[in-house]
Amino acid sequence: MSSLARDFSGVVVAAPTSFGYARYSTQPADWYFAQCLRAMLVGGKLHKSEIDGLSASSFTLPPNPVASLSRSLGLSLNWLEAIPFGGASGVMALRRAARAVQAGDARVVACIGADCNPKGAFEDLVSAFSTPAMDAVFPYGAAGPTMPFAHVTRQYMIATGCTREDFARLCVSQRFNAQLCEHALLRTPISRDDYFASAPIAEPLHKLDLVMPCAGADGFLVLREAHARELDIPYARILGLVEQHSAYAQDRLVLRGGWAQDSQRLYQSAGVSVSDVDILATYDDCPAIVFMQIEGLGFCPSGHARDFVRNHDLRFNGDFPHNTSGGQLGCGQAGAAGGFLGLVEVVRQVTRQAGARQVRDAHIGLASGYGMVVYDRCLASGAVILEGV
Amino acid sequence: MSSYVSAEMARLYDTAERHGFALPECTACGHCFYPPQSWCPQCLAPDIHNLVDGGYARVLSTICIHRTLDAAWAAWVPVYVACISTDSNVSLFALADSDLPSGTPVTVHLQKHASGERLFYITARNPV
Repeated sequence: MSSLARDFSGVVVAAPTSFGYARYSTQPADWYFAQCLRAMLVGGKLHKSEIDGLSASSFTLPPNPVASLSRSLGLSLNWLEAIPFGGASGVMALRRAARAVQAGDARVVACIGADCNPKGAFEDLVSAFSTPAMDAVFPYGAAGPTMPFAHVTRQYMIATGCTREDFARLCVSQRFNAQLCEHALLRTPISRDDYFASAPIAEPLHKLDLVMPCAGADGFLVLREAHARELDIPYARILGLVEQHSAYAQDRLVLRGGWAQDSQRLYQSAGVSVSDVDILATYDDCPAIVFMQIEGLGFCPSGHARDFVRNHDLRFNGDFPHNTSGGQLGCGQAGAAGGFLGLVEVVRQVTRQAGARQVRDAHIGLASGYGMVVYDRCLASGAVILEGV
Repeated sequence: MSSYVSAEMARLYDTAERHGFALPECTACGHCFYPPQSWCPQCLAPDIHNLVDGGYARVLSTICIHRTLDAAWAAWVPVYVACISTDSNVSLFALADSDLPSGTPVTVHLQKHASGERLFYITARNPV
C-alpha cells in the first residue's frame, strides 16, 4: 500500500437521491441522469450552475458517450468521469469525486448511476457483456451472469454448509425492509414458504434469490464540509474507503471477494471497529455474495455468515440493520444505479433522512460494492465507511 | 441462438475439434489460461498457441439452468452446466448430462450441440 495514502478529511457526501424506479422504461438513460440531478439539486439546495463535476455510471447511455452529458444536462464542468463498473460504481465514484474535491479540481461533484430498461434491454446487455462472457459463459445456457452466480452460490454452499434456509432468512428480511422504501418495486413482503416455492432459474438460484432488472437512478453530491455547512444540508463524512480489482484471481473457487483483502485497512483508516457499524449495505446480486461480504468485511469469520444471519435480525428495526431499503432484491436492479443503491441508503440513514425505515441511532454506516462479471466472478469490489453529522 | 465466437475462440475450437481438447498457452512463459485472448495475461507476450490437452479435470460445481434469456435455448432447458478445473489448473464452464458432484473426475471435450454450436462437454471418468 502506498505510504502516500491519505484520508478524506474535509470532504463529505450529501443529497442522497433515488429516482424513477420502474420495471420498464420508455425514456433513455440521459433522462434518468437529468431527473436524478434535478432531485439532487433540491436536496443539496444548489443551483445547477454550481455543479462543476460529474461522475456518470451507466450501461445504457450508449450510443451517447458520457461526454455528451455535459451538453444534455447543460453543465459546464471542470471534472467529468465515467465509472462503468456496475455494482462497484458507487464506491469508486465516491473515491474519485472526493479526491477531486480535495485537490480543488472541482467544488461540487454530482455522482449518478442511471440506466433505462426498455423491454429486451437486459437480454441484449448480458448477451454481449464482454468477449469472455460471449465466448465462454453465454453459449452455455444463455442465462447471462446468473450462470456464474449460480456456480459461486453452489461452491459457497459446498464449502460452508450454508443452505437455502439460510438464504431465505436474508431474502425475507430484505423484502420486509422494502415495504417502507418509496422507490422499491418489490414492496410486498415474502415468507419463508414463498421463498421456497419460487421457481428455479439456475439452481441452486431461484427467482427470489435474484434481482429484478429495472430502470432508475441513484446518486449523491460530494463537496467540501465547509460548503455543506454553509448550505445547511445534512451530510456524512468519509471515514475510510477501499477498492480492489481482480482480487484473489488465483482462487479456483470463488469464496471471497476483494473486501477480505483490505477490510483491516478499511477499519484502521476509518478509526472504527466492526462493532461501531450501525448499518450495513451490501451488494446483493444474490444471497451468497451478500454472505461473502458479511464475512469479508469482518462481521464474522470466513464461512460463518450463516451463523451470523441466524443469530441476528437484519430488518431495519432489528439488531443488525442490513440493506434497509430492501437492497436490489427489494428495489430492483437499475443497472449501474444498483452500484449506488446501498451507498445512497447508508448516506440517508446516517444523515437521518430515511423516514419510516430510519434506523435508530444510525451514526456509522458501511456500504460495499461488487461488480462486473466479465467471466466467472465480479472483478471490481470496494467498501466505504461513512459517519453521519 | 447467439452464434458469436471470437477469432481466438474459433481457433481454439478448431484445434480442439481435431484433437479433442486444447487450451491457450503462452509460448513465452508457458502460462495456460482460458477464455482465450491473443496475449498472455501473465507476461503480456503476444504469442499464444493452442496446446492440445488431455482434458482431464475435476468438477468444482454443477448447476441446472431452467430459464434462459435466449428463446432458442428454451428447447434444451433444463440443462446442466459444470464449472471444472483442469489438471492444467484452468477453470471453465462445460455442459454435463447430469448433476455431477464436486470433485468428480471428468474428461472435457468439444462437441457439436444440437443447435449446431461447438461447445465443451464433460463426461465422468468413473461412471457414477
